[in-house]
Amino acid sequence: MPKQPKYIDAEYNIVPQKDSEANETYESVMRLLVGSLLFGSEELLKRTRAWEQENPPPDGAAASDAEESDLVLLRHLIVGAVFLGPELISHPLIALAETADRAVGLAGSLISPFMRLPLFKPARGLWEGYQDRLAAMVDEFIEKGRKEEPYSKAMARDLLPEIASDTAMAASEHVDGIQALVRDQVSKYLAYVEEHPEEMEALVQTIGDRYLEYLKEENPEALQAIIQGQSLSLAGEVTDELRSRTVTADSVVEMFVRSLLRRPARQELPLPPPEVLEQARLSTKEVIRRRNVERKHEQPE
Amino acid sequence: MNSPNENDAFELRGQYAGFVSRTTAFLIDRGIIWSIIAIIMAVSTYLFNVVGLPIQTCTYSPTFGGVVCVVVQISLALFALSFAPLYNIIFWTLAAQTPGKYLLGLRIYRMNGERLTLKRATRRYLGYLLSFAAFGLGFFWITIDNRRQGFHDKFADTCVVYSWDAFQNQRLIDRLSVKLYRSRFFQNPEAFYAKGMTAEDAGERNAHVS
Repeated sequence: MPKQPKYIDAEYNIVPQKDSEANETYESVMRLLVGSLLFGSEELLKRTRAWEQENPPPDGAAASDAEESDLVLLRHLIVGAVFLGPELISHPLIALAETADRAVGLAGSLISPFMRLPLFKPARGLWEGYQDRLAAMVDEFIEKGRKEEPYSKAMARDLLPEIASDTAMAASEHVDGIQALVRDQVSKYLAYVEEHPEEMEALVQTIGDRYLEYLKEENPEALQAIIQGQSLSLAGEVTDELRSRTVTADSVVEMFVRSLLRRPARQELPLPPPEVLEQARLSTKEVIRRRNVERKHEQPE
Repeated sequence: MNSPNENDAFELRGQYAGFVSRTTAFLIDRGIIWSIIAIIMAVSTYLFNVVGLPIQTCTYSPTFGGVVCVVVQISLALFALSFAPLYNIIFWTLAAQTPGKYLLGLRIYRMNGERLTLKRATRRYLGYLLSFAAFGLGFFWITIDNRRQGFHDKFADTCVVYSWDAFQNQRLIDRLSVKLYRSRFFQNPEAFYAKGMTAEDAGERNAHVS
């Protein structure tokens, strides 16, 4: 009596399977896999043979390149071994198998007189029973294989193209459908936005407000730094621009005035005294700090 | 805007500042001063109006209100007159620059490199008045003087210098120099030589620019 199949449930308990649904699923999947393998192999073999008939292999030795490197020679050696290797290996393997068969036969003939003794009767019974069961199992496998092979192949032949075509159709239908849908929706939305720009502005403002709100709530320092940084950099740019333009204008105006007064163009300004140059390189804070220090020293104790 | 050349920047920092920079700074300071005076005047007038003292229209009368009115009017007038000198003198003394000069990157020093004392700052402000009194010639003198000093600077022995890494558009200046001096030089070179000028003065130095 065949054993009832068991499975592991969600709580990791081994429980007997209630119906053969799982087995049937397993068999169906395996049929499809085996059938695909066989069907694919046959098809592949058929096509390769047809190609070989159309393109027979070249007779005689191939012309060798004059300057074949060691790597090229090694590659040729490996490819040649792949083709000629089985032929070379098959003879020793057959000889080995025959030798093993003979050795087993000799060992059997040597052991059989002892095995017939009543002392070894239980062991002989066990061995024969095991052999019988093994033979029955092999017969069952063969029978099953004989029955399943054409069935699986037929299944693969019928279902594989159908599955492939259905999948391709579904994918193309979905892609086209989605694209059309997106295009339609986007064009509708764009037309709507064009008619109602105030809604887009409101949306952008709302998102901007939300982001600012988020920054204000979650990271006020960052918001403050952004505002300060922007203001400072903008103010700095304006100041630099103003300063550089006025410095250029200083020379330009001076040149015009001197030209009008028929005075020579100024080649170079005389350098201020070194003390003044040194002071000019100080920052404003440093100037005020030094001034305060001086005032402290001036105060009577 | 051209990017500053490091050498130019180094050369111009500490150099005497010119007429346009100083005038711009002066105008910015005037704007600040007048704005503050106008705000204080407006607020004072409003507050006195609220308490029943219309200082714009009231005149002297031998009453308490009339006396207060005149006192307030004189005080406001004095404030308006003294604010500008105080503003300038205090900033020159404490920071060596006014807000306008700070914006333009300028500083005022004595010719020996020291900062202005209260006395020297007052002297310089009086020089300001002198420069005005001479129909503005004292300010205009900055464009002619070799050290770019106005009358007030000479009067107080001070100078105004760039306190930032100043740079100028040298290409523009070279081009203008050639245009202004070169043609006139070739028309009448003797007149140039008579004034002690050379071909180099006339823009020959920059001839390659054109």
